[in-house]
Amino acid sequence: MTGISNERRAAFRNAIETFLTDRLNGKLDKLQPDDPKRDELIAQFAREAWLAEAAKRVAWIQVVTHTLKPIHPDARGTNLFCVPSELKPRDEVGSHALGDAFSSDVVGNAAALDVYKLLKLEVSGRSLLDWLQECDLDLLAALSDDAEQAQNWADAFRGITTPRSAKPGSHTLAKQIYWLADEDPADDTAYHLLAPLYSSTLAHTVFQTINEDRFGEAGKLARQARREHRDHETGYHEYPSLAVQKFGGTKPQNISQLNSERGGNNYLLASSPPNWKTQPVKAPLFVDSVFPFFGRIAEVRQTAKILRDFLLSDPPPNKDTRDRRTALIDRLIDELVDFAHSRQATLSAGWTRNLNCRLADDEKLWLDPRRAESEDAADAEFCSHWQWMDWPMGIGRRFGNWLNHALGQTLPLGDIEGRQWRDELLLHTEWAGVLHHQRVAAEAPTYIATRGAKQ
Amino acid sequence: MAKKEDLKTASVLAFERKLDPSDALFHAGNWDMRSNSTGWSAVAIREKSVRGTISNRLKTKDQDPAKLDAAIENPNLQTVDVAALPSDADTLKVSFTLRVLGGTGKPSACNDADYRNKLVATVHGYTETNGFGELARRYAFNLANGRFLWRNRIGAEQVEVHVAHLVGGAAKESWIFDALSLSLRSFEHRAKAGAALDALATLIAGGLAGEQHVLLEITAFVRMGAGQEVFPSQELILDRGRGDKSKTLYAVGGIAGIHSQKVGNALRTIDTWYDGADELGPIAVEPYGSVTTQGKAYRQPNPGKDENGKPKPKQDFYNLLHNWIIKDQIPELEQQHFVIATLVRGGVFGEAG
Amino acid sequence: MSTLPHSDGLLVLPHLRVQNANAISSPLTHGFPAMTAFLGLMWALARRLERHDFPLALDSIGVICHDFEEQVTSGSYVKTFCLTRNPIDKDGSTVAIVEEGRMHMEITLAFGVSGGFVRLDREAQAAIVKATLEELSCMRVAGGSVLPGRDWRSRPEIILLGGETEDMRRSFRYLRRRWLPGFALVSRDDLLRDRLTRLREASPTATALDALLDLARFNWQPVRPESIANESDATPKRVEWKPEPRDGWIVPIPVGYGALSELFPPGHVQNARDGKTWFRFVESLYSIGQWVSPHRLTDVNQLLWYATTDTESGLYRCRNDYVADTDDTAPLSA
Repeated sequence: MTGISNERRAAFRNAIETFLTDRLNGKLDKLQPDDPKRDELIAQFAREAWLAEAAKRVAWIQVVTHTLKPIHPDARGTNLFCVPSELKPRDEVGSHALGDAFSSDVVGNAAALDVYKLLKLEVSGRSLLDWLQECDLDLLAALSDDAEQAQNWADAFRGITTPRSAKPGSHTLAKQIYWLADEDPADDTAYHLLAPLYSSTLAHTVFQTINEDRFGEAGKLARQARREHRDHETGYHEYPSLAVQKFGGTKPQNISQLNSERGGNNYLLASSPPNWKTQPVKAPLFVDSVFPFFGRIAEVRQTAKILRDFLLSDPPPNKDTRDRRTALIDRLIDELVDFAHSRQATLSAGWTRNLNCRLADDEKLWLDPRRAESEDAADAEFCSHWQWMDWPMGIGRRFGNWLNHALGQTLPLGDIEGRQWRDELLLHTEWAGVLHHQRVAAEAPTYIATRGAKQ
Repeated sequence: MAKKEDLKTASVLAFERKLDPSDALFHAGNWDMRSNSTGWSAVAIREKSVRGTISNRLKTKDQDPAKLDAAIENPNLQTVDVAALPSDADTLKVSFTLRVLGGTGKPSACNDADYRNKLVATVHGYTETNGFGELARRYAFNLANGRFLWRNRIGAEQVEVHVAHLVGGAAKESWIFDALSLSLRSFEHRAKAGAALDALATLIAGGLAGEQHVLLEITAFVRMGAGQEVFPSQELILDRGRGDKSKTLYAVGGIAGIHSQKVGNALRTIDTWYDGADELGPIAVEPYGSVTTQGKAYRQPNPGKDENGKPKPKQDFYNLLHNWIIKDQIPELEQQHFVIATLVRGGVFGEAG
Repeated sequence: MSTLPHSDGLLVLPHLRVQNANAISSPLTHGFPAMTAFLGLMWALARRLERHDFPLALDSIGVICHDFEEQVTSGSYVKTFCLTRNPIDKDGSTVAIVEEGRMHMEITLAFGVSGGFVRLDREAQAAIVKATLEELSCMRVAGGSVLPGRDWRSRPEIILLGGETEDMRRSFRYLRRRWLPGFALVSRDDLLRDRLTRLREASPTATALDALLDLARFNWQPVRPESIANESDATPKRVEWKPEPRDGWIVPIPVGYGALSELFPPGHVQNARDGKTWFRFVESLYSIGQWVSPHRLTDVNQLLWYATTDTESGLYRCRNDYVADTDDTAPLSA
């Protein structure tokens, strides 16, 4: 034979035999010295005998990167082994992003996991499976002195990464999504059926990273430093609203080997939107106006400053200037509506009845609209004022005053411009639209002019 | 179409549910004010500490008297959720909406065209002959008798169920039922509720048949007495940590409620066609007739033999459907009702290997 | 790369209340259904509208979330899902629970629409809108059920786009006000790209996954004084810690699927949902999204998502053309 390195062959054979001896000894230790089963075991763990059996048992398991059972534990079908570096490179994050640093998973009958362990044995920095996949002749020679037999076993072991059924299959419990791959959604032939598999290998890296951040020593020291207000050479990471999902219940090994190593835990990062309801809104008590508070909101302050600086720059009196001014004021009004919405929706209906609520009447009407739906006789006056609809003008006036004040510290503003802002505020289409609907709901008179009606 | 002997159950087969209830939410108020209950206050969940007793038998090694004393003196403090009516309200209002959808028997997923055709034709045959009358009558009955209230119905002084048919956001028609006058054990109705029940059943049947889109608003008033405890759904939380609450009740936006799934379970509690129904009364329509609370299935695929050693008929959904569609063995009418009711329930029923 | 399809109008279904939608949007994310679910909804809706024969095509979809309640345990650092039932098997024994995350949400759906409807009168357009809402009410939205609307805020409408820029601007302002309070999901692929570049400056082997995780978390750092002027100062300074500033409400999101297998011809894969459709095994792909308050959007197109398909490379992607505006009259942050 040519090209065979006896040294390497011996190294492979030695690794295999050490592996077998360790396993054999583990079993022998559990038996009495005179147990007749000892000889049986010793025979089983002879290299050639064991490998011959292993080459059969290897068919019970599959090495994979993508699994089906996390989708549904009773689903059966194709699992896949996709080497990340062989997947299409993409800008998005997927298994391909892992490159060579990925963990393989195993699915199938746990009774054949020892075969997988053998194939994961490392010799010269790579696993036996890697060497087999490269058809390493030294390893082949190490498996058996009979070249044909060695070849057969190698073929069987290499098969560990191929799906166990020749024909690909999905399952009634698996996820299968119709994706419109062409133009017309009504055309049945325009779709592809996409069956997502769970990337156990990607999940594993995420799991290890997050666990290290949560429980690792470096993070622990950094958190400690923060608690003690000390400097520290590294920071730490916190995953907001992290969730954990369980696969396999009390038997995570039924899902896959890596799932078992993760204790059946799958981390989920949060995609949730901000929840404005969880940000407590305090009722504006003891003040006669909310505008000073409104003016302190970061976005409002910034926008007002941009507007002030713009006007101070003495822009030419043309359409561009007008448009820009309008756009900035629009944005302030947007902020005002947003500000009001969160109070209208969060504070309990009738909150302005509180004796400590010292807001101007117009602001009460504006910020407590649901009180106007009250059937309580004590609220009759409130309801009628609300329906009378003078208050939007009043709010517009207050907004104008506030803005004049915010801008006017450095820039004198005339009455005309002040009035213009009030109009913009009060007759804003959406504002009028909301009021119109609210009025219809409250069966108020409908003679109030809206921008829609004016146009 | 393939020859009869070639026909197989589709390996991928799924149906969407056709009775789609919302969560049922709890409000509190007074019985006399039930005609205007829009402003009733929400029932909230609150936490309570309870002293559990040491009920689990101590292990032998813990039977050291000193340890036992310590254990008894260190009572098992637990936090649980509770919900109750306020002291000035004697009535619980439970409200939800119910959508009735058409298209029963039309699978949402089916990978065998021949099977699909046979199935649709079979269900069509059933509705041609029977309509959805019998099923709708039972669903209507379960609205009227307040079964969806679960534990909240027990011990109530009075229970009134208002059902409104919503069209374009307004009630087009509505009915009021005295729930306690209607049995939970059978679907035989008394003359008094008859006309209203029939009208409601007709509406539901029309919805199932796809004649119109039916949306119902159900409001039940349960007079139970001021300050009484009420019973929202309990959350199932796996992996409860040490020191976590031992009972978590369900609330939506801070309002106590019953899960939509539980409401749906009550509404489809119409199966009186299984072996043993005479004793046990109606159970929820489930493919194997399983009753979670009892950990028992009343329609097992291997029902065993009767006292004469004769094998009992297989009356689980899969066998009945298989025989009906594949073997053209038409089940008895009662079992047909069960099969169709299971399709109304929906689920994944494929026979993938 | 394709871009957002041109639309003539916007069909808005505001303030839909959806119960028990899927909260687990992918193997790596939770807290809001995946965009793929909304695109799937759009296609299914288009098929249902087919029988009405309206001169209207659905091109794209925008989602604004006004409120949501995920069915998870609160309190502890790691959330777990609340389940509703303990299923039992045919013999009455309990079976393994499949954890299904659920959430309730109140959302506005805005469809980019095109076609001859623009020439119909308001009444005919209103009929389209009404029928669309009715069809959608009977559908599953991301696996959840649609509850009936509560008030005037949930009235659907159709808005024509095009025409004078000034009118457009005004009508979009009109619209986005109705979407308050709420947050619209937009794509921020740019942030993922930038972060990866930054990480690679420090560590050349950094991956896109590292960048995604880095953006998904709070990176707490000690705030160091500008210079250590007085090192001999014996008393240790009290050091404040702060999370690295984030550009708005940034979240990791699933954005579609990447192929794991070839595209199998119809009938080739066992137990496929049907025997007439091409079939492919895929995995979820992820990127970065941002939740933006609607009043900080400047253009309706910033809101809309659409699908692109590259059969060749096996990329099935949800896209959105939002570009963070650097104009100072435009959004500042979420």
